[in-house]
Amino acid sequence: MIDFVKAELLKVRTTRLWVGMAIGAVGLTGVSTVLFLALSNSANAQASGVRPILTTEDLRTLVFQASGTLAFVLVLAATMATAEFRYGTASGTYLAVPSRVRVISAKSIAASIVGLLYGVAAATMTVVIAVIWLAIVGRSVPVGASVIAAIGQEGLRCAYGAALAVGVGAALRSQLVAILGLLGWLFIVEPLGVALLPRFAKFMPFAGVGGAFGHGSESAVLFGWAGSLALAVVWVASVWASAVSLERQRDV
Amino acid sequence: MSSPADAAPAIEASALTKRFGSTVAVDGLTFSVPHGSVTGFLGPNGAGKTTTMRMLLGLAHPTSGTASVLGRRYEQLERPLASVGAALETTGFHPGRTARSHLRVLCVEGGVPADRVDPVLERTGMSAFATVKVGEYSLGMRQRLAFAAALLGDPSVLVLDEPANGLDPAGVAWLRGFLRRFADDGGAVLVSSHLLTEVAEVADRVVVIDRGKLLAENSVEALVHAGGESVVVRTPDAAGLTLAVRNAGGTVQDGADGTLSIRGIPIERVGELAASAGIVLHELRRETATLEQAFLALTAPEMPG
Repeated sequence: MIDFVKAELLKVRTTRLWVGMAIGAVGLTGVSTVLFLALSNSANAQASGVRPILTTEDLRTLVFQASGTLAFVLVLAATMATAEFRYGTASGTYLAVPSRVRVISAKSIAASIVGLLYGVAAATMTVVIAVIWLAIVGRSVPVGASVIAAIGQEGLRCAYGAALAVGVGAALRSQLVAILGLLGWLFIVEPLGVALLPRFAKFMPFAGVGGAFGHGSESAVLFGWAGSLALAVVWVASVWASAVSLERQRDV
Repeated sequence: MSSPADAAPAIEASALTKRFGSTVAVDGLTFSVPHGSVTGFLGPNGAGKTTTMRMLLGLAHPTSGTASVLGRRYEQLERPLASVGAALETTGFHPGRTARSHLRVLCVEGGVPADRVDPVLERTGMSAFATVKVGEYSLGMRQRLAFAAALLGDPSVLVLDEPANGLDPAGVAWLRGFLRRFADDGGAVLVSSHLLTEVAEVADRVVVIDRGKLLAENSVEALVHAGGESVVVRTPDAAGLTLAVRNAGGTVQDGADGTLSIRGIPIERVGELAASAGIVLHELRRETATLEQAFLALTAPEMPG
């Protein structure tokens, strides 16, 4: 399995999509961080819930608020699965590795590793920008363990999203449908669900598992940390099993 | 190449059937490909050749029947790339990846040593283009890269779908020579092609299918022989000769360039018939059926009665 994961990571490294997605994720997170920091002292922003960065806890919150990585990770991970069908490379992959369970598992693990790296990199950048910004304005906020944990949580959230996106991509096969579906779900369906059907939204794959990764509105989080993590595992396992089941039945 | 010691066929299809809804793409197909031979896999467009090859390689699931390579289902091969090399399509490449990267990925996936990449690139004439992205390749270059991928694991069996497509004449000649040497060294090749003259030159055996059904499985020689001989005649009195031949029990068809194609009686008898009827002949020669003619005779659609 390690070789198969290595092969999937090599596939990512030998095309340029990961560079574009990294630039997008880091760029969006950087811009978002600067905007939060610039606006955080204004009365209007504070009225809408943006807090000035005064404590380690504020810095931790900023890591989550400024994150723009997940969407890019979803696109990259979905593409890791769907590009095989878009470009016809699935035949070569299955000739080398006939087990579809192994291929989808390797893709899921590889995508999670990539997602983890993206999430950690972007969250670290948020902290670095914030520390420099605060130093320039003459304020010092210690980077405590909770901020380090937040960076890790952001990485895990992106790893989780990547595993889901690979499963969705493998199940749907169509790159356009998978990407539009994932982004539509993330930016339209779930926010509407949280607002209109909070009872059901608590089980949704992103809002519902926010508690495990430090995200999500409190009203949307039904479960505690462990419960959210369990829900995340259920979602990943369900999507993986669906993708494997479909893929095993289908011709390439 | 590892030379298999057992006498079992390298590839075996048994009652292989594939349905897509109500359409039967492959219908109870049974054939085998022995070691040490090149087997041409022939059939008109839509005959089911590619579907059959995909079933042999585990890419498509048979509705019924079995397909085995080296005595096992493809999925059961421990290191498939080291057993079977397959080139099924020229579109199976990421356009943003280079040839070397494509082959490196396959090496890692297939457990093939990475130092195999450069030799197969060189062998297929792709060394100069190893760092060029596949999106910039011509059809012939893609074909060569597909072939390089097939050779990566140094397999003893090759399954090739239209490998000569897009190759220049030198490339076709190289491919022909390579397949011949590969088979002579004990390897087994199943190669589909619509270039029947190419198949005739390199193949030992042919499997002919149409509408998913097996029409013939034989040596090229036997298939061509079964197509029979004809006598080609050019004469200014075609009507008179036609009448004489038919009275003698032969059949006559209009051939190309105003010739007559006569079957059912030997060339000597045709000459005698013409002489006794006082018919002038401008040309009289024996014509042996080609693989193409034998193929067309096998796959010709039935005329409504």
